[in-house]
Amino acid sequence: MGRDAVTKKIYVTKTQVKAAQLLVERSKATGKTVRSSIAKIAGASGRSSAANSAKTRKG
Amino acid sequence: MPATELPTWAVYAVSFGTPAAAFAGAAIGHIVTRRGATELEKRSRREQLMKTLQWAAELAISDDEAKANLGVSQLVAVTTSDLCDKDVQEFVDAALVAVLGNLPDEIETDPDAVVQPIAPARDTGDGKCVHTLEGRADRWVVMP
Repeated sequence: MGRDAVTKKIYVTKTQVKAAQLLVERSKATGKTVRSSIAKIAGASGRSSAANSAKTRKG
Repeated sequence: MPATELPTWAVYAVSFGTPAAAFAGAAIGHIVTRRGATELEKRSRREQLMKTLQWAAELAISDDEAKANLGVSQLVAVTTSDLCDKDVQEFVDAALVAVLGNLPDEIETDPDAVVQPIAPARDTGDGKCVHTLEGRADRWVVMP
């Protein structure tokens, strides 16, 4: 996906945000950890509560 | 002269037992056949679910945003099916990770990066902040 080197923005599509949110919700349901970057994508659309409350790990 | 020399209980046993045994046999046969048909139907539905999963996964990674959105929606529908077990869920999770591509790696290499959701310009009708993305024909607008 595209990125803006000046503003340091990484562009993600709505579908990718939706997929990340589903993965975060799934991790909450199963108790498995999800990558912090996936939680960051999931929280990019204002639905950050799911992402913030999810267990995250680095890498 | 008596018609039979069998004891009375034996006459009753043969008279009532034979049709009862025939009925029981037919009933058991029906139950077994029905169970087999149910198993076959379940297997058929699971096969169809796997085909839908494959179709949905292919759509989800499409470059066309509308198709990709449909694919992800179908993946969600697959997970809500009563036939969705742990194995199917693993496939769905793998497909969702594939939708993200190398984004997670990209974000982790640059922790200061800001994740900005965008949408195809044709979906929003907004002419402002139009971007083009490498490999994508759509023009994109930044979502609020």
